[in-house]
Amino acid sequence: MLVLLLALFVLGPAIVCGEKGTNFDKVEFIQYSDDNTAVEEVKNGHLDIYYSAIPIDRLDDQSKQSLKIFQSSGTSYSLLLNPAVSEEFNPFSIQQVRFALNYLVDRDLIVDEILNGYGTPMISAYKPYDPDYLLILGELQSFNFKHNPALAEKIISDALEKAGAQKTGTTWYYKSKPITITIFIRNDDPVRTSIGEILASQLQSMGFVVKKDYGDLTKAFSTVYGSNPSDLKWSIYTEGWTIGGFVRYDSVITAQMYSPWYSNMPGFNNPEYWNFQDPEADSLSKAIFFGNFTSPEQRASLINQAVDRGINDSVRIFLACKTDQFIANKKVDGIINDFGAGVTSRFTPINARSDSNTLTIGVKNIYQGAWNPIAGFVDSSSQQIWGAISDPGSFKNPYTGYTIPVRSDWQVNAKGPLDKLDVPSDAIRWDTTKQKWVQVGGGVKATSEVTFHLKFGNWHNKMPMDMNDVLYGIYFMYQWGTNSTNGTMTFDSEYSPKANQAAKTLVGVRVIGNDTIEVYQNYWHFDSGEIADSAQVWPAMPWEMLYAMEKAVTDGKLAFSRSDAVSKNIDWMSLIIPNDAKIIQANLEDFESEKSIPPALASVNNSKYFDLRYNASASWIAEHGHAVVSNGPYYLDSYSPDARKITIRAFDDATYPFGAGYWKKFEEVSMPRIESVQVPTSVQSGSRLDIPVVVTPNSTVYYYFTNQQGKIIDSGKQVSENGSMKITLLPEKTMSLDLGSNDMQMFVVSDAAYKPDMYHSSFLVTRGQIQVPEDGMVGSIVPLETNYGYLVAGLVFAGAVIVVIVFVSKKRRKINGV
Amino acid sequence: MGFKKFLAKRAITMFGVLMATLLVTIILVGSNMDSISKQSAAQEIRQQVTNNKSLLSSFKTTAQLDSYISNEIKQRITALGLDQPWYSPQRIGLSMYKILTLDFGHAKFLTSDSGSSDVRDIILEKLPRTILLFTTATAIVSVLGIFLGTVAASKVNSKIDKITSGFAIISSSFPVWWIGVLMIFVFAFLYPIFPARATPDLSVTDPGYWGSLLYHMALPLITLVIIGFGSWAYLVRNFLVGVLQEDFIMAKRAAGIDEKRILYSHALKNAAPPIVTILALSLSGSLGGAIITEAVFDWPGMGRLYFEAISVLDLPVIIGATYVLTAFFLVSVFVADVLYGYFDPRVRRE
Repeated sequence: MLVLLLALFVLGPAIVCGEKGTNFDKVEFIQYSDDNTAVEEVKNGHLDIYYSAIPIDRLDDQSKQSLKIFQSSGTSYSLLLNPAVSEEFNPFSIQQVRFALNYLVDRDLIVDEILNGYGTPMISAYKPYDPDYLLILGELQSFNFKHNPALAEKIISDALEKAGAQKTGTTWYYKSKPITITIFIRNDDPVRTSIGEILASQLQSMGFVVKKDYGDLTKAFSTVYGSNPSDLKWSIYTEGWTIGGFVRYDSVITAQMYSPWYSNMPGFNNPEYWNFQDPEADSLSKAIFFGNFTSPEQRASLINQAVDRGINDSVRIFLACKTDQFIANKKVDGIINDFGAGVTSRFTPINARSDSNTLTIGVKNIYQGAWNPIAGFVDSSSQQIWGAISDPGSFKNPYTGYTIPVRSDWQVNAKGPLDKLDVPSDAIRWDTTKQKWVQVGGGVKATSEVTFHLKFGNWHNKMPMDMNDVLYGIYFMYQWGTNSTNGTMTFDSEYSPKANQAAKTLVGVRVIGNDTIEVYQNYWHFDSGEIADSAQVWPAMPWEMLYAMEKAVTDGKLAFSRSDAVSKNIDWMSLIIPNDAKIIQANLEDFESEKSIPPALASVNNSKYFDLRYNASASWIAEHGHAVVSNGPYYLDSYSPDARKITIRAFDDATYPFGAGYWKKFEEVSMPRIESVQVPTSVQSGSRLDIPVVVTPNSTVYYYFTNQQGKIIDSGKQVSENGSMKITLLPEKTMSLDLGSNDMQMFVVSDAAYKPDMYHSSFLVTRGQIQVPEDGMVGSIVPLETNYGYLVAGLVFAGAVIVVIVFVSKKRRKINGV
Repeated sequence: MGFKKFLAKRAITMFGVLMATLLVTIILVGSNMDSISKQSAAQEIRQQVTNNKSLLSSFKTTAQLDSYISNEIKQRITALGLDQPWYSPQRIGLSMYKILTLDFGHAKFLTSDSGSSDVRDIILEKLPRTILLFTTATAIVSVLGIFLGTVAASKVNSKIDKITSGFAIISSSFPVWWIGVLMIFVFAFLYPIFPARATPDLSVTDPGYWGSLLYHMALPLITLVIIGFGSWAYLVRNFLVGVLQEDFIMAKRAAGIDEKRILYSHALKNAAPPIVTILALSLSGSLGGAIITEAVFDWPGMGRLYFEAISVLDLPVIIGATYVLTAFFLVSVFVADVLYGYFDPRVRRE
């Protein structure tokens, strides 16, 4: 009896209160539009984290001491060159001239001076922090782009002379007309303004007449994107790219940045314009985009070829990527710095902890777009909060981009890219014509099959999740993914085309248990995690909510997407807004009173089940004033537009599968780091070179030795368990190095985090024993003398001005007094 | 011409000005915006598709992807009404008619905090906030300014006169938003007397909301008043100095009327017309808010609305806001004309 009482005393609170999956009881998102105010509020503890990157110049050394600073990849910068052939001579129509700009631009200057060191040089579309960057390391090294204006000038001069141009004095002429270049400089971004100004002066020094055209995106739409390239309204455009997300296998970047078919190259595939053409780049990027490869090696080869082609074309030249800084108060631990999202990762509010029960997060905007899971959540503000409220079935590892299970585990069965497997005849799909589930029948095949084991729990309204929620989501995709309206109202101009595409991939599903479902689809990837991610069926909201939302849309009261809302002059459905939530509530109450059963769940023979569901969700809306019900570790408590604040509270429920600290493993990831590299100052040609290296344990080191011409003399890869290793350059290799300065570059990566640490150094190759002077012998220390002369002169001048003013005013008074 | 006839003629003229302003806005903005909006829509759709990895993986051929994107672009252009030229009857004619009935339609991108995309709701949500801060500040500034200006005018070349003039020059030299940043730094962080955010963190249904609101808006209000009242006082002082030199004032003094009465009942009344004009224009101008000041203090008013509408090219909101602000401006000019007639009998007799 005593034991029982003791157990009740200890476990009682847990039984009553459930088990929450977070360290905080409450998270408040508060709008702070001004960065300066937000920084001060984080410093004084009124805010714990600020969910917006702080510009480099806002944080002084004192601020950096009192804050936790997290760095993340930010905007990347590139130059878009106009290669159009026109009546007027266009120097960038010549490939060599474009390519030469890679030697003219000073990427190190951009990083060191314009980005104040908070950035990394880039020469391809892949940032150093992209997972696929490691695949093209060798390729990039082979270019060995360095700021070399002399080389750039030589290449440009040779190419222009071959084209018939002539340099008279300091200016290039073509058929007696000076060669003119127009740089469109985005002056709404100070970084791009600086890049444009520097490039303009460099091109002027090369002998071109440079016109600078300043403008923002609106003007760019007209001048750059909205004009025929052969009209030569622009020759160079300063571009900026924001990160689209940290993705393990990016299938689109080579198409987007280098290939005409993707409509992002000059001309933009406007049939009335001159368009840049490169069939080989198109072919390579299409193979990557459409997955026409059968192995990781083949994919890597395609990427290397595509990047090589793109860099050689040099229509788009990449310069650098910025490092953004996010700030947090020092008392907060457990912040997860996702390589893509930064600290705004969904894991941050879930894993963070401090002495307080409340986490306060500052955001730039509290409400930017509608909250609905169909065609809403299009802005970062709502996505960040929704990520903490709703659990996904699978997610991406914040440091590697690999697909990881969250609320589902899976087994994948795939026959490879070319073969197919049989789909059981009793697998089902939704027939929009018959308005019921039908069996796929015999003889149907699919490329892959994924068996999901779903980790159900309760919805926030305490109703248990079940397979009906899963099936309703699948029904929704089929029903709303029709090609045309078909006389029904189940069409949304933004959502339906996407659903239609997804429905083409899905072959059928088969429920084989209370929480187990097989999904058959025509999709293959060499990484089974990607197959599982593509087949994911985890529901974000209860089925009755979707049903009520559907009715609100088919009744013409609300729209799922902004486009439909605008075209029909109705509101864009936002479940967080009381008016819209009341419409959903009214529908639920009608369903309950009318004993309504949705067609997708017609086979469920339990009227009490439907009543319970309708009642639970309607009551939730009545109690909370919103219709946001999901299954994550937090639930939406309130949205206060006047206070510009959203509050979410921990979902204390025994059925929630993850306890607090479940995602702590993401805190403990050790980033690969180069601890020390001992590169000797010089090495004798023909002798062996040993370089001791210490890196973080279990890291892989990639190294490259290049000569003065940029040719790779030796490269290799080493793995070390304890982190100590020796890189050796054999005598025959050192003999191949040029006498004088040669380079060594090193990257260290680990499987736990795809963010390489980089090292670059030079060393001398000598013939025979040559003593290289030690550092400091040729230096001299010049004492700093402050010149007070200017200060004295200034003071004297100011004093003289004051004396004159006093004298004149006294004289005037005397005259007035007479 | 009778005063009533004069007012009627003014009213008709102002209505014409309002319609002309609207038409010019639609012509200027609409003509440029169409091509930019189409480009922007196309680029946005491409970016959305590019960022949607699961959607991308569903395309098997270029033709499928191109067809999908071009259909999406067509849908978006139709939804935004860009399939009709800006000068088409539907866009311009119907718009002008609807606007007369204060039906500004639905915003293309922006929504109110309550989730409504009705432009009227959006404006009605932001306008009271702007009135609460900026118009209140303008009213306080003008009262303070009139009082101080009157005192300074009665003691020309005195210390108070010199301080007023000096303060006016200094305060009008600094941008409001910069002083705002300084005030937040000093009085919210260095000496935490006021909160840094001007928006209270209580819900409007909370009993303590209004008290909290006044407390939170104290700092921006003080900032606006400090910057504004100096130049007001200087203007009033200059008007009054001119009036105090008139013969009728000398006659009043000679008649033995009290100096204070001369100042407040006679001189100020005679200086009232230009003061009233400036007051009317200031009050109506305050309704437009101030973009940067609102950003610094995190005050969601008309200035921010205008800025956001222009940033995303939300034409209905731009037109609606322009209409409302122009209407208020014209009404304030009309009221100033009426008051002018009240203060200056010569206007009534003319």
